[in-house]
Amino acid sequence: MITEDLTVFVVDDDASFLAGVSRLLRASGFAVETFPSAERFLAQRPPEAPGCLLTDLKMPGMSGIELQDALARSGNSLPIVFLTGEGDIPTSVEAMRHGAEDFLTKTAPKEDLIAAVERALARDSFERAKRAHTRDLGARFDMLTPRESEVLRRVLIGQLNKQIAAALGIHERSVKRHRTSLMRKLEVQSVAELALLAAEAGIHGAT
Amino acid sequence: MSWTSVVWSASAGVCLALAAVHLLVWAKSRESWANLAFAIAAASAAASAVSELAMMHAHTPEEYSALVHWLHLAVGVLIVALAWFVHLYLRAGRTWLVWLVCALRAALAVVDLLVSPNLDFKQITGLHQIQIWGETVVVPIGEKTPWSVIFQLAPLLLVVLVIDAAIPAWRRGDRRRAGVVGGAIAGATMSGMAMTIMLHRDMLAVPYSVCMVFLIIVVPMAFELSVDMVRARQLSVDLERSQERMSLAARAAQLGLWEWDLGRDEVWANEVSRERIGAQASERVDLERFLLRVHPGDRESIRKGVRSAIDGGEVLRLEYRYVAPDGSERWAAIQGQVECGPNHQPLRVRGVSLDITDRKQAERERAELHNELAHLGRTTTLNALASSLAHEINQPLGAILRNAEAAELLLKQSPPDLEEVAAIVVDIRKDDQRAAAVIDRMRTLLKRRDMRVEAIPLSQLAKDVADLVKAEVQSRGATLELELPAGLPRVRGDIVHLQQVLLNLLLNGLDAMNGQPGARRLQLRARVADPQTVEVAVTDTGPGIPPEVLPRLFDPFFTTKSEGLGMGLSIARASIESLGGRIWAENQADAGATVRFTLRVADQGGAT
Repeated sequence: MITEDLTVFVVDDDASFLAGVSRLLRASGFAVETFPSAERFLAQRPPEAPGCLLTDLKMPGMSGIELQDALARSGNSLPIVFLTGEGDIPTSVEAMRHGAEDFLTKTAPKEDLIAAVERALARDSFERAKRAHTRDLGARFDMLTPRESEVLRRVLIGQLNKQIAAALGIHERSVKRHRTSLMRKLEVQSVAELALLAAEAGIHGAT
Repeated sequence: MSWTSVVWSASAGVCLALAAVHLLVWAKSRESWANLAFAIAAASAAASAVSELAMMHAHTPEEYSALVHWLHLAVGVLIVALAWFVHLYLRAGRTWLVWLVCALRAALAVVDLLVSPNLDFKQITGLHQIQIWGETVVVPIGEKTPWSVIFQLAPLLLVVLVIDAAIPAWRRGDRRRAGVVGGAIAGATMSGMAMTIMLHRDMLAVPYSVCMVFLIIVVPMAFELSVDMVRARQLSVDLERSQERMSLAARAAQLGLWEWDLGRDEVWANEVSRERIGAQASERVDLERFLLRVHPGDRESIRKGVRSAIDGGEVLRLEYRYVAPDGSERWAAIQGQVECGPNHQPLRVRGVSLDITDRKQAERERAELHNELAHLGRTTTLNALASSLAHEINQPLGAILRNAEAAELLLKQSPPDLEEVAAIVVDIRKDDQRAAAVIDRMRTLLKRRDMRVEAIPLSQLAKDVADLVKAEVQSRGATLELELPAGLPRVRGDIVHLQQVLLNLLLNGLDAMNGQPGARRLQLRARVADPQTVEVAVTDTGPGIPPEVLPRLFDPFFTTKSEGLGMGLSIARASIESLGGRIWAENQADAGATVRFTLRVADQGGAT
């Protein structure tokens, strides 16, 4: 269950609860870092560090919801699990609407807590992987020459080589050459794969 | 038939009768000296009638002379007695005039006795017979002295005295008496003087008839007497009626009336009073008899109260328990006043007693209702604090749970990290105590109990309340400042009620500042206002209290909030006022409002 590099960041103004929760998480095999306030967390936390955030709602100074907003604004999409001393429905709804992973009371059973943390960490990994993948895809498409991009676009709308050659004013042989090149660069084996990849990358056929 | 005898005897008889009546009146009351004076006057008039009758039938000049002395004596006593009578009856006139008349007449009497034969005559040579009413009587002949006029000084002075007394009596409103008595006596005396002078100047040939002159006084005096009798009768009827009314009123109001004669140590008590202490109508009642029915625990305080009322002349006001005729225990109240004599010595205590059991019962019920209401108010306040209190409790509880779970896991490891587990256990204990403290604070508020007044360290109370609300203050983004000077004296109050008052004021202040963009500052300050009073103030920086709301702020069920009963401030006012303090609200000059209340300093000083 140990997920390397993934740290659970815990923010709470109550020192003894902070200590208790971090003990539990460590004993359950997680890497934990604690912060006594949201401000401290924002200041000290390494950007882009993988993991998830466990935070109290009501704190003197910046509250949990405000922290959530600050993270969202700075584009830091760390999954958040809220822990609260009192659960009232409006606040929990607000938190979930802002995209929290989960909302628990401080006295919730440890199974719920650990499950939520794991889900959060998993989501973080998943999102990270997804972001990496998207970046990687983007990089791949960037490697295409302008001519190759044009050919790609026409292939995506289902034009035959002959038609592409006529449209671009080049030989059919050149079209075939471009097709092979771009499919090699994009690391796809078939047109179907190509279409899927293009869709993933958000590239549509067009003229 | 001897008309002179009849007439003179009759007048003597009338005078004697009148004397007897007035003597009886005086004997009955011993204080109406006027009546005694008149009795003496009437008796001496009778004596002079007898003397005159004897003189008219005298046989020798020597006999005549001796009788004249008696006559002069009788007339002297008559004048003196009349002087005293006028002074006493009209209750006016200069006392020295009266004494002057007495002295003068006494002197004249002495001189008269010494001179021979008497002051009127140098010598009585013979007795002359004259006819009166077909009868033969004697008149004296002889050489008259020029001194006889001196005798008239006394009656003259009497007339002066009468006028001197009649005028103030008339002015004072006693017109009838002044006119009748003054006029009669003055008139009679002056006629007497005139007659005597004319007799001596030989202008009249009649025997002495002083007593006839006195009869001029008899008629008006008889009239006066009858008026007095009629009035006395009327008064006694009125008195009876008035007593009946009073008795009826007392019975209707169940009012016990009593009058304690301190000299005889005897209490007159009306029917209601007697019933209340279970005494018979004729039974003798004194303080101890009264105390028999009083609850033993209250007897001493009654004795003390009575003592200090008598000694200090204060109004007597006591409440006590007593055993009613039906055996039940009831409450009564006594109010009385001490009456003192001219030397400020206490003579009597007069008062009323009333059964106040109903009132006491109502007071007790009111106090209970207040307690229940205050309790309700506390639970409502606790509701307001519920979420912040829950937060405060869930912190330690959550920590305890997490710690315990961690310990479980650690113990499953091999080898288990016992050092870490030991640290966990220590933390669990600390957190448990933290949670218990929060619950304790809540429990004090929730407990139902009667108001228990004791000496309370105010600073500590304020700090406890501040602790209770600190989570709420924080969650509303406000700050709470305490200003509690050192050496604040302890105050008289009930811990729970005072906590509730402070809590209420603080929460109201927080509510006032809700949603306010600027600073939200709450201040709790205490100060010594004067040696007997401590003043506490809660100030907020909200919008203040609208002037039309200010007079109704402490009314029950008055609220400007959308939720809430509106009982908080009225309960606070009832609590503070029952502790002898005041509570009021005012707007600050800059912004916000302050609610202040005062508490009495507890007797034994003890700094907090």
